[in-house]
Amino acid sequence: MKNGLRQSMAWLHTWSGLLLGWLLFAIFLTGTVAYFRQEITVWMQPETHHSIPGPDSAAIGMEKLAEIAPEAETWSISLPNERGNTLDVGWRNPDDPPGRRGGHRETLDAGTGDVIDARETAGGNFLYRFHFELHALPRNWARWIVGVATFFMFIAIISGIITHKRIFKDFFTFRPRKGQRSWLDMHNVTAVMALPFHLMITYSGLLLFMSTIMPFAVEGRHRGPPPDRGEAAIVEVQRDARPLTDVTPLLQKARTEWGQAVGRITIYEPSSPDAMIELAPLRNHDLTSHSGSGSNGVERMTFDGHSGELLESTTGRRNDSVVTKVNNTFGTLHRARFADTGLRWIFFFAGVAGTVMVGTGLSLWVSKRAVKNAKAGKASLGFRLVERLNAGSVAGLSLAVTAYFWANRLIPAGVANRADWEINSFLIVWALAAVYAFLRPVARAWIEIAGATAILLIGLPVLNMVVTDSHLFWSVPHGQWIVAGFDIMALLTGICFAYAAWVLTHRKAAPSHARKRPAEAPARAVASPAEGH
Amino acid sequence: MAGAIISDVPGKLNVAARTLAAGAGGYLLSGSFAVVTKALLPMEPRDAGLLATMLAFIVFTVAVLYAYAVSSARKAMVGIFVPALALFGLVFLVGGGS
Repeated sequence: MKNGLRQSMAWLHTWSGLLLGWLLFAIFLTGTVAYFRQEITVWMQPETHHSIPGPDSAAIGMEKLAEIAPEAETWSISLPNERGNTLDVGWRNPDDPPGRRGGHRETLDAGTGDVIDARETAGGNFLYRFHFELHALPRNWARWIVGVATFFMFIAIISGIITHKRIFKDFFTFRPRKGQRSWLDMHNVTAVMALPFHLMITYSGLLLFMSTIMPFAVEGRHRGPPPDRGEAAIVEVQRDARPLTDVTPLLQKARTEWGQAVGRITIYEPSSPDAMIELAPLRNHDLTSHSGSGSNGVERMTFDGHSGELLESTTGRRNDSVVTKVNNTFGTLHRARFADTGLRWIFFFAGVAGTVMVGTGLSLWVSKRAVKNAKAGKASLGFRLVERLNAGSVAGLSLAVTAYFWANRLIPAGVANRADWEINSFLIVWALAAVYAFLRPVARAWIEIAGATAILLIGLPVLNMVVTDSHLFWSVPHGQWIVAGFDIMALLTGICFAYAAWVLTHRKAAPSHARKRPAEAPARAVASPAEGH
Repeated sequence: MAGAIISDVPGKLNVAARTLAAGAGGYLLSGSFAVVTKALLPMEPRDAGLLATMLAFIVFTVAVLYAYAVSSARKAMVGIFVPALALFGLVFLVGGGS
């Protein structure tokens, strides 16, 4: 009976993983990359790369705003930090329409205060949005599709755990095998090593979608009344020509209080006697509280704009119930907004493990059945379809993301709708790769698409050297690690793809070996039936 | 592998019945579970709804696993649809989804 359970769970694992596997791969890949979406956006706007923050960036921002927006009723300054090297300022004039879109924005050089005319780009944000809303679909449809895929993933994980009887042993005593790694090894290793992450990310993904896919018991999100700033707009504002206080000591004070840097400065009524300076921390580092929109923390410190006197300091923590806190924690973990760069890398690599897990799982389905088909001398239509879709979706998506970055560098900076053309490049290349996978022998399609991805990824830093002046030989000596980090990751990922292509070619080049391989697969499956797929 | 659960009855029908129980039955079961549990939990409606929904995803998952784990498709249908319909009935008793 126990064996029967394992077998039925193996069956469920196989099919729940396969059916939407290509979509899960895309969700995992774009979501993983999106952990660095701000950094990616920085890289995609080379005009900003020469902005090197100094100790006076905040003061520079204030000065610039006084110059370009003297009439404004609010100013806001997002300070440069480990995820962005520019000063992003915004302001709202009294006659601007209310709401998020009603203001003005500029990107400033954090060292000089000069306005940077950065190219329009879809940036890391496109990949982030694609992760849960795909593209060009009505938002609710897309969320349903991704939500259902997430549930399939959850089923695949749980049934996979039940199937895999050595799970706890494997988790604590992992030893890399000496022989050539098979798809199965890679699937198990990436699944087991990052299992807590996979469980967390998938379950929290479901919770983030709850008001779409399981709305029956969910009350609308409670929104507090909007902050009351209406009166100021009605009352004739008194002018006050005195300059505002120096923000540097205020930033210092907040940093000491919070134990982390200030992320955003907001100045209310900068030109009135009642000017107020509000500081918000860079990150929400409390897992249990919901940070609202944006990534800033919930704490606030308010100062008198002229005297610099501290008026109010709030923790922003609501008296949330335990249930709300648990739910917030899942959401915060999923988005990793609380994480500093080091922790972000851990999330990133766990995400890479998940992406590889889904990709190798899809390949496993094919390589298992290839054995039977070789014996029978024919392959079913479904088999051939999956085989081709795998190459087109797994290898093809990797190529498409790479092409997206190439398009960013190759489409001239001034072109109208260039952000759309970046996205189009991504979609077109993905579609072409998918078609290509049907036209070529499938083993060749894998090698060629993976090889093209490798060449383009390794070529990315080279292209960067040709078309921008913020290449590795500049960014590393200047300590611009966001820019350098992207180039280095492209290079390393490209080498991984080149290695993968080399391994696949090597197999292809030795047909006797390739013949033998399928025979090994069932032998291993028999040896450990619990790992079956 | 699939043979283990489809050997006794016509294969495709068996899988279809289990899938119906898992998908439609599981969704009805977990959705109704969320509404009924929310009504029974002694806490603020917002929190009760949140907790009930968090648990409902687990209920849905267990239902899907159950649908493919039990020895026959009939057991899967009965084991999921009977409690699902019972809970769905209770939804009206506790006063709908609000």
